[in-house]
Amino acid sequence: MYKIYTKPFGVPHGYAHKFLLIMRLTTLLIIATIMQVSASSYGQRITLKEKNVPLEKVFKEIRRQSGYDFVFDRKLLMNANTVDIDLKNVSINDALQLCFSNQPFTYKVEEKTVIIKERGIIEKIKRYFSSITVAGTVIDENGKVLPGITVSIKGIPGNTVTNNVGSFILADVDEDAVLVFTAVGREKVEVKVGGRKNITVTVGSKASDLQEVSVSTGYQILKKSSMVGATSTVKMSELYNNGISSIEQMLQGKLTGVAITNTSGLVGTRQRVRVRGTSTLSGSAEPIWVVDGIIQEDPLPFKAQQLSTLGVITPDNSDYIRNFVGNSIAWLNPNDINEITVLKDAAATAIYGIRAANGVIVITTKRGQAGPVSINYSVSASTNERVNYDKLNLMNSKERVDLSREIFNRGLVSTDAKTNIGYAGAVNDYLYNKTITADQFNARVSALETANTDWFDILFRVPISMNHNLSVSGGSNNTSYYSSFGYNSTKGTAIGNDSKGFTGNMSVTSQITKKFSLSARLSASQKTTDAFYQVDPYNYASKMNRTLNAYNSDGSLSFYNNINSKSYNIINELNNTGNMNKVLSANAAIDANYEIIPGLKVQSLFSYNSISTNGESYATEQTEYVARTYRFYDYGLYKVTDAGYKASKLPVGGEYNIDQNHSNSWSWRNSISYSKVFNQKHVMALMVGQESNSSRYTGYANTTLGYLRDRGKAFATLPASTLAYGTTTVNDLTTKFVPKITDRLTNTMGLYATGSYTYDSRYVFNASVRNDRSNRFGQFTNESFNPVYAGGLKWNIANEKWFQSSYWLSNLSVSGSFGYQRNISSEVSPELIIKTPGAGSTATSGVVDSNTGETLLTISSLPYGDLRWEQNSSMNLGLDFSLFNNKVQGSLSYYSKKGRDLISSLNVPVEYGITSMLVNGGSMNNTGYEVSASFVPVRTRNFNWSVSINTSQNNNKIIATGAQLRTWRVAVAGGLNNPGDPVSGFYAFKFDGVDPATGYPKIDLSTTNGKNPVTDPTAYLQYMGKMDPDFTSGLGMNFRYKMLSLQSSFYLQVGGKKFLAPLYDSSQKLPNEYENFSRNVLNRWTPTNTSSSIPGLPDTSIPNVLVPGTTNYEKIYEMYNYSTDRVVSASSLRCNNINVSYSLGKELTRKLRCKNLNVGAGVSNPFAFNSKDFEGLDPEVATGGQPRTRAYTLNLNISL
Amino acid sequence: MNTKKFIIYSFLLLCTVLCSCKKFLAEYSQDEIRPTTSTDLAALMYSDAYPYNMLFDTFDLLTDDLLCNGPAKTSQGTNVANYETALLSGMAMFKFDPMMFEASQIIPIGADVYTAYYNKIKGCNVVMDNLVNVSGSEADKNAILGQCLFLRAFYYLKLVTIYGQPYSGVGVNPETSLGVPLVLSSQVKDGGLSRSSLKAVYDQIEVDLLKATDLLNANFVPPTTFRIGAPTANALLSRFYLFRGLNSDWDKAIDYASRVLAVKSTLTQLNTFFNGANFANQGVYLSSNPEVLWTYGNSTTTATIGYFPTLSIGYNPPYAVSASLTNLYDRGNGAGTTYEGDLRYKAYFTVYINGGSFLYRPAKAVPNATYGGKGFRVAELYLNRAEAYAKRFVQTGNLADGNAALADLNYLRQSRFDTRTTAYKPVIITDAAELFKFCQDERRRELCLEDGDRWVDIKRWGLTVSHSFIGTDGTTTQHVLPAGSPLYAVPIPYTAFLNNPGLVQNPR
Repeated sequence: MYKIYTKPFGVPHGYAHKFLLIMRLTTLLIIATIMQVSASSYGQRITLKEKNVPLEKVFKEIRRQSGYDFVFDRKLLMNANTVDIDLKNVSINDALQLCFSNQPFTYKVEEKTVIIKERGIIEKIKRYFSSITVAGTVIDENGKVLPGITVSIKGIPGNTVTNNVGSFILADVDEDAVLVFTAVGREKVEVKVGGRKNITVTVGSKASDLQEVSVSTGYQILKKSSMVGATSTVKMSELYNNGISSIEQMLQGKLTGVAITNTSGLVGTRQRVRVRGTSTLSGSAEPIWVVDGIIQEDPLPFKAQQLSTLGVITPDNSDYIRNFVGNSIAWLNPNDINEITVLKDAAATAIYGIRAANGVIVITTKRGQAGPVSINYSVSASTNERVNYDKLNLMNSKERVDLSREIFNRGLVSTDAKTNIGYAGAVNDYLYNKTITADQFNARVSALETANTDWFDILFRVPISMNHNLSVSGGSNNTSYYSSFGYNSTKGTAIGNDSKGFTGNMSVTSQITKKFSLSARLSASQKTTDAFYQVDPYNYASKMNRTLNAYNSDGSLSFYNNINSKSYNIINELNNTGNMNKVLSANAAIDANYEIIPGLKVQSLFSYNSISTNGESYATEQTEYVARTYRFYDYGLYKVTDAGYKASKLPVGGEYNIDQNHSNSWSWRNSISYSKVFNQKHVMALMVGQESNSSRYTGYANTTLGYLRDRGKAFATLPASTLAYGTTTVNDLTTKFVPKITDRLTNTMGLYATGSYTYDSRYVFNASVRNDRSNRFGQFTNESFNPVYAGGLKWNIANEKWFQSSYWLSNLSVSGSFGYQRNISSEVSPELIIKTPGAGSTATSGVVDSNTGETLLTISSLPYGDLRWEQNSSMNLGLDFSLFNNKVQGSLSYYSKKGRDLISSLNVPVEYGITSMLVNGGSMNNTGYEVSASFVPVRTRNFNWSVSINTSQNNNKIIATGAQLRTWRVAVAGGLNNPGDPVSGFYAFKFDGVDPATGYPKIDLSTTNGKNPVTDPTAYLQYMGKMDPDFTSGLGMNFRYKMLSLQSSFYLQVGGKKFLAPLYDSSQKLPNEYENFSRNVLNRWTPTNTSSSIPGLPDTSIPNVLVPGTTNYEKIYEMYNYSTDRVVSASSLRCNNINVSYSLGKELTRKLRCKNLNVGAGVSNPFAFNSKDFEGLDPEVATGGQPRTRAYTLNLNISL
Repeated sequence: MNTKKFIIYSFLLLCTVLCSCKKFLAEYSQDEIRPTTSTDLAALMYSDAYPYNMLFDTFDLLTDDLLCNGPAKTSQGTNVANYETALLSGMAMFKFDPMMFEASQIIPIGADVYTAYYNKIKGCNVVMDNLVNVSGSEADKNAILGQCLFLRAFYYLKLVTIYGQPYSGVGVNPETSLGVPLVLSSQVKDGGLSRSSLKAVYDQIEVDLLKATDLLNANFVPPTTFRIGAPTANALLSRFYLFRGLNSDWDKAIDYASRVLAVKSTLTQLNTFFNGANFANQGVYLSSNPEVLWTYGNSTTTATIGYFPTLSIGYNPPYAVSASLTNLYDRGNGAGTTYEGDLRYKAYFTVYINGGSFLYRPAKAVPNATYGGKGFRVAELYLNRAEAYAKRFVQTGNLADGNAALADLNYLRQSRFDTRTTAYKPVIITDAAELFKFCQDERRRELCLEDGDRWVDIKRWGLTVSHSFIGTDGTTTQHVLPAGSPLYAVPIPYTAFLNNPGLVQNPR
């Protein structure tokens, strides 16, 4: 009936094929000569009008009108098709012919009797005669040939696929058949053969992907029209992949309802992802990531990230490694991604159970397409701009010396006297030590004033990053494959921050038998990241006084005595420290599907994931860090005979840390699904399944001293004891570090069911339920049934008969869903949990009492006797529409999430022996709307302009809170959860100008509005707004002119407020020579500039201020840092990227013997509009992180 | 595969999965357990209720036992770095700055014990609250209860003597004067905690200690000096009554001291530390020393005190033992002679040498000692009893009390003096006031720089302290803590106020 047409290499296929065709035709002609088909006419007239009736009924009617009898086997007639017939006074012969035209059997008339028989071989041959062989070519709207297009004959199972020059051949096609051309991402095209033997078909790409036919939830692939839950999807091709950005960064502003915040401009650091706002007061608010149906586990065991409300990460050593290890999808090559879908409401996520409370991001990877081998190679090179002093608005040497001069002239008071550098050092030598003359002093000061050391130039670079990716895919009708290999080398702007990695991926999908299909994926990746240990170049460059020199005049490194009175040079520190992280991961997944009877399927999905993380960091003996921490004297200061050497606990060698982690996890999912269509109107689908997950983390971490990097990476032995003043002391460093083993096992098992019912494609009803259990320690032992359930309705209005599809409104549907879940926080238990000390704690608390040898146990968590389930309910309303003949596609949704009895962390008095306790207390409402639309204002053959826009607003309101701490510190940090205020609402001190007499900031601490300052700090504070933006919007605009296209992406956030980075240290200490200041301070109050609105320099003599309602005194400069004067709007409009690409013309590509060749260039973060108070800094990282800089990328893409 | 077979296989698979379910979902944790036996709670008590390795209070900078040497200048004219850091870390306390424990100050290690003691009190409360939930014999549980009650009382006595005014101080009304918040259960509640009165705290300590003594007496004999038995509880009661200092308390202080001394009265003879002409200091808490009742902590506790840095040769350390304390000791014929007088001068301090040998810091816990650094010693009980007798002598003029006091003091001194060649000469004093003064000095000589006794004694006896501080710039300033100063009640560290709106700072 149909032929597979794939081009075998090296075989002159065409001739052989034609020869075979000729042979067959000859045979047929011979048979045709003996064929007899006839029917006599009996002159009877029939009038009949029926629609969609059984054949038997027609027979009865003809018999009534003509008197002819019918003889047939009832069994045979069961195969009969229904008949549509409209006869007016026709002969019985004609009537019968019409009746049987569409039937699988034939008839014979004998003596007024109609005998019905099975259609014989002759009849079949006769039909063959009207069959032809059709060959054709498929092209796109630009005239380019399209390989991999599925071609099928309407109404007949089976298909073929166009080859790599876009052509196909179908044999045995009925002359009147209709050919159907389909492909993912392309419009479905139907063409009538009409006897033509050669057809050229144009298959256009889809007007918009919002018209997406199906949505993958990770468990199921649902038609968009029957998807009740709230989702949004983006194709990888719509994202700008410059080879540097992480997947999360690419997604910023692309998915409606997903807010992504960058916390640092460093390469490879994690981003904060929130789906529809924050819905938990404790615990992780990150969504879960799912790749091809498999939930991804983090490479390192869970540890709550210390991300303060101000967005500042306070890292410990393992956080530092974690940041560069990446998240659970770091192993995935972005080029292998096909599309990304976010599941937002309960109806969409319920099937994932409790874990999905923060939303689910589902990634589907590319699969092979049936068709010839397709080879794709892409390469990109990127570079970043360096951060420089212009952007940071910091003082130059001259300005900094002036500031020091003011300190000296005014005689401001400092507590410490570590001033042998900078202007203060010169003054010290001149006036107190009297080691230099006035001339020498003046010369030294003028040298300082002109030093202007450019720390950014010394510590940063303009790096070149490379990214190569090769993929090979293809397949036959039954089996397809996709494999890729990628290499990535990313260099950060900070010298020494590099990342290099390989990814490999291979997937095969095979229809082994008609009922059994199997797909398997195997991927592996390796990544090495070099970063910093104990040094932060950005922090140093942006804070350090520019009067210091990095090099001496002879080119050697210039050392100075730092605040710890140890000899310091940043370049020396960088050269002698290191932090290397290697991540090796391997994933395997196998997915088997078996169709027992039509509609009833079983699926089994097994995956195994192994990640090995190896982090090591070191500092050699030449670093200031080792001198300060262990040795207590500068490198090389003492010889072995010196007393200082003998007194040192670590006279030789540095520090070496290792942190190894292995994660092995598997998951196995088995499900049975059944779907059935009744009466062509009722569609039922049901799925039940069971899922087991197990993940085990093992790890080893240790610190070893005495490391000699430059001497064969050997280790020196620590002295057993130290000698000072004739007293010998056992060296406690020999026992200070204890190895730590991690062994965590998490098992979970879940049962789930989901079902849907669709009536006539118009009404869709859907419900899901899931229950999970785990091996978590300290859970409610008597409660196991903890289901998550959700359901929803959808009404596809456009499918109603009365709906008049018009030009301006072509599609319309509404949906509503509801979900409910109960959750128990994993960190709280109703019982007292105790643990063995040592694991995860400091070395000082051993496993046994070092004095008595008795076993020790320590408190892990206090019991919370009143522990209740957290309850969350959510509701979603959605509207999808398309206007102007599908030119504008849009959707609108409104949601409301209500959380009750939420577990929140309560800061409790230290008198309880703990600082915080998790309790059920909060109630929170999240409401919001999301609008997304895409439209194509202009679409011509040569010019195309498409726009996609999305907007979301989230209103987060706290309805009730449990008891909470109410101090001004909580209020300014946004932690004061006042009923009616949003979650991150914060307060500030009322700035009342600068005291012209002293230069100190004035804070208005008067209490207002009758509030009692004893219980409510807001009595003397002012409400400023919220820290999170309440309105975010993404805009993408794409233009295409002929083969040239331009893509752009913008991100807008409105409504957030932030504190600016402090001008002066909160501790009110006198500025010292180790720090630089913002140029804003230039206009500060001074005894000669008393009218300034910027406070003067602080010093330790400034009296503290009594906080109203308390007995506590606080520093006025700290209050100033949290005052209304320091609050700015964080609203910003940023262009995330602009890029152009050009596809080479058909002629040229043919000459180059490739299918497609594409070159492009782009720029990331080209510009942003935000409050001028940020002075060019990125508001997302304004509180101190390394800003993101512009990145330029060139890329080349070749398809063979 | 036909349908039937498939169903059978699936069924078998499902069975296997469901059968192993229980094992698969069995609770697992690397290191966590639920306490089920009294042994578990005992292990918890050793780590979380006993002081074990916690850092201890060091308020010696507030006393007259230390002096300030100021910054040490190198030949280049810069300050010796680690000395400067140490000087700054002790500055606020040494200058009696009322803001000494605010965020703007460097708070030396050991001066922020408020949180640390309450952390241990939590441990006591958790163990006691969970005794009813675990299995174990009544005797075991009572032994645990007795130890926890003792420890809680011990910590509260520490807290109230640091952060409260002296109970019997001049002008102090224990009914209204601020004590510390009393937390007597592991239950964490909403809202702030307010400070109980001095009386309420002392009353609670007394009740707990009396009960602890009974329970320990009946149920527990400590296997080592690292655990508490009834004698230690009696010793703390003796200390408690002496510290409370009501007129009715002297008899009780004498009574409880005598109870201990009835079972354990031996003192360590410092003479025995001589090995030929060499004096090998072993510290006072070596567990084989006969006078140790209970010991805790370790030697690093004193080694890590921020204001006592590692010595740099040729420079004066920023803080060292004051002349007034140094001069209290009878040096006999001098170092290296056959009669060195009071050996405590030798045994209780380390020295620094810079144009002469000076006392630097305490050496009561020897570095590298694997035994405790602090604790209860028999010596203190002789001193407690002597002081109570002396106090009675002052009040009643009964000479028998005076003689009893002298007997105790002479007995103690005899064990401290060099008696290799010279016999100890007992002290004889008949004037009540003079005897009390001698009692005070002897207490200072014996208990100085050990467990904060001097600071409590200054408060109880209403003494004035004068300090002369030399800053980093070399300028000298004078600072006086007058008798009955509001700072007798040390300010509560600012960290305690962050989370407790109900807390009130001491007047300052």
